[in-house]
Amino acid sequence: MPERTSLKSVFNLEKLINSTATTQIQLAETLTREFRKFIDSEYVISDAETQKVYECDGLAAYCEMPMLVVLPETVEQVQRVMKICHQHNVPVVARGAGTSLSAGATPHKNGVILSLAKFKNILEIDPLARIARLQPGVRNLAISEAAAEHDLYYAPDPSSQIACSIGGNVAENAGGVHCLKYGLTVHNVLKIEMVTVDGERVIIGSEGLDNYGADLLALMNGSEGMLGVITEVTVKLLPLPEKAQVILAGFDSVQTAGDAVGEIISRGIIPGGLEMMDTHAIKASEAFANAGYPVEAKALLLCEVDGTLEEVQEYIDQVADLFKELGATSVRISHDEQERALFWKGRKSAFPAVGRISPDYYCMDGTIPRGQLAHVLTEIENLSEKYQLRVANVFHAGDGNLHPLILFDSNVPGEFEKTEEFGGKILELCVEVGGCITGEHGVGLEKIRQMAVQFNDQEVAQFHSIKSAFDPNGNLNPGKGIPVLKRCQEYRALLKGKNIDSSDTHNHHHQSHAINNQGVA
Amino acid sequence: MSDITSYLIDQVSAAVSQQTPIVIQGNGTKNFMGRAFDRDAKIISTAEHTGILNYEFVELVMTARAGTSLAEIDAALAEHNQMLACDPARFNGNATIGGSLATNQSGPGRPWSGSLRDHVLGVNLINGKGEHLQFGGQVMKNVAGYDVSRLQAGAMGTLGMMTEISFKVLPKPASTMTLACPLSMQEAIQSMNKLSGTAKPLSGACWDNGTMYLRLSGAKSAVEGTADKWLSQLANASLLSESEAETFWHVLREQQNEFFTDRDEDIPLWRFSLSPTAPVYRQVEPWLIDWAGSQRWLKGNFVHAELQGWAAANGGEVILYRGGNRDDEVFYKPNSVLKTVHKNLKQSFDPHNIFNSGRLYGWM
Repeated sequence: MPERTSLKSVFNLEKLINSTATTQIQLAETLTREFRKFIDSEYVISDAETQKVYECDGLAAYCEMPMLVVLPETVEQVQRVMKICHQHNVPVVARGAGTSLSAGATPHKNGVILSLAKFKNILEIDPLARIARLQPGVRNLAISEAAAEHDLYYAPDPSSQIACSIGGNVAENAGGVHCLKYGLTVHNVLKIEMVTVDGERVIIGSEGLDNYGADLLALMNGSEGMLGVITEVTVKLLPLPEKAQVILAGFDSVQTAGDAVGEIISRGIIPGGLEMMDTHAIKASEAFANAGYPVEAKALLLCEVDGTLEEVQEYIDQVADLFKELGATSVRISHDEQERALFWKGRKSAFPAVGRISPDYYCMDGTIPRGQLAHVLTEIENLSEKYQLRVANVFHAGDGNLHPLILFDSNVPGEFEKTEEFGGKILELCVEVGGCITGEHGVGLEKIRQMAVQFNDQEVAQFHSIKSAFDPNGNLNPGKGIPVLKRCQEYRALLKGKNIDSSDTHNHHHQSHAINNQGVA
Repeated sequence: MSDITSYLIDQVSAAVSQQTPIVIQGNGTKNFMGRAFDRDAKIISTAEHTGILNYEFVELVMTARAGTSLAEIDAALAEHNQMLACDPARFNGNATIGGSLATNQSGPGRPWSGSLRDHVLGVNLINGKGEHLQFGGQVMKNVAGYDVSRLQAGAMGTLGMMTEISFKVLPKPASTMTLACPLSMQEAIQSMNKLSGTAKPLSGACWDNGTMYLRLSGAKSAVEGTADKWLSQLANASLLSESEAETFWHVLREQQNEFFTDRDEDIPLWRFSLSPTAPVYRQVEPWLIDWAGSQRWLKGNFVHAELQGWAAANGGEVILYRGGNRDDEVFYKPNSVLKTVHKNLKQSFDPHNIFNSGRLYGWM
């Protein structure tokens, strides 16, 4: 009897799978037909070969083929696509340039990829009001290029700025190297136009600085495409600084360099950019860029001061003197724009440079209180020993955003899995010292497990109910950003099994308070 | 300094089980804002929930309990020559950090140094199920989960009872100077916008009673260099003395200069947030223009919908900030789609509708 039952259930399961697959194919055909009524056939992509380029974003370790890809070119078309998907209860993943490093734009296998690549127009630049109105597919760098004729620019500059689009920047709340002084995307966006999951068009924010009532605009920034589809963005433009100058300083320990950063800030100087690199990153970058970095140094600081001519002159000398006083082993000041660009070239090419010394690298994105830097780097070094994987560290020192680059070889069986586990440990460490699992890359699919370390079940449940306020059926970028509660519990149990105390995440919160409380003034 | 978190959680839980609405109040300095209180609701005070929990001046971060007064925060910051960058109204020092965030208060430096919403890094709050939750953190970059902390800015306590707030602070500027220049309203709007587009250390731009005021803050050399340049460029411009300047910006921030005080308590005071280049409107009426044109104050009896029509045409909104009929809607009215989103969000944080019911909108 038991045999018969099991045979029967296998049969039923197969039947179910077959019927689901058939329904799925029929659904894809129906949607393709409906979309082609108002979008050119070639922009409704249903064949696997053409869909292939959409299978992943900047984090290629996560791949999935979508059911369908569609590239509308007007907001009305986006609305119609959303309405049709809503009727059929089909998941939608909005996608900009696909430069996300957290698998935020990875397709859903039963869903539609809604590419906004055709929304490339700068709609308006108002130099007097200092704003730019943009379609979501406009590249980040293109905004500053277009504003330059008015001596204005757009401040947030993620390292992918040559390719990433402003719609994606809003979805991820993108940062960059100038955040300490000029803020993140959320500080530089005034207004968005958004299409809701059921195809309604709404405006959030205004051309004024404040909006009354609960701040929906802030909520949309960093919401990873899970609350709505952004179809227009209005950003603030800032006057181009009269001058910018960079100081390059080498230190014989990470601790000394970290202390120097704190000292500059406590003297009242807010640099435009403040970056740190560890010895591995220095060596790799120098070999690649020949920027004149001190390869014998254990840590390197790049400190950019910008503002009026007088201000830069006043502060650059102060910072240089301070670095020497605080034990810098070498200090160089850029003398012209060419040299300034050269100093930055090393830092900006750090990722590809590291790519040259290893077949693959995995970029992490934790944030920590700056005072914890030396401790965190020592722990990372210990983990590196344990996992037998090299790590190079690049650090947005001004705002505490750490990017450890784990070097690995994906051709070695099991090595990516080992790398991911190592990366997970680094993020857990960041939470432990009072930081967070992602500073600017987003959660996506990549860090969804670690969400359980930063948040407890009630907090995760609150996130889910916020999502439901916008998207009751959960069709916008499903599976990203916020983990299902069951998975949180499983992950915490797994960590507990490995003797790491993460069973109660609120312990972490309180621990972090305890660590920070030592510094109460 | 006292921690009454468990008392607050108990009060919320009791309100939930008895289905009795509550009004969250700090020191009550902004009771005049928003719609009239629900008269049947019980007032729960966070005024005793005070204390600075953490201040890392090197990290530019402070964490304080929601009932902590801005006077206490200012005093702690001053020891390290730092300040609240958004410079909210202090209301004689009694304003609390929680109330300031719930109403998203910012001072005259708003266009250059941001609002409290911009500087908040994390909040702990008790939601309408009596759960004490923690969002954001103490670091400047944090994109894990939705930005619940900044969502509280302007929500007037309708989404929960905040217990702790972490925020970014900044060094005080090394030097400050203020110029005054007689100009018409129209000329001032044009001039403030033009000057805002130059890379100079502008930190305040206001027009009041026929005079434009420009504040410069930053490195001494930059402030002095710019002041010299503008004094020669702007016709009839003069330099205010240090004490004159300090008084001017102080009373402006506190909404205590003559424009605000020379008014019957009942006369409505309207606050516009709109495009800084919006043209002059109803020129004969009494106006004060701040934030280089982006925030405008108007006093007098007007029809809200008419003012809102003009504000919307100029990229913004207008609220009935003070006085007038506060049983009617005083905030901007969202369209039906956004109204649903606001209602759903309220439901998600406060399913039994116990927090500050009707304070923000009559329908919520």
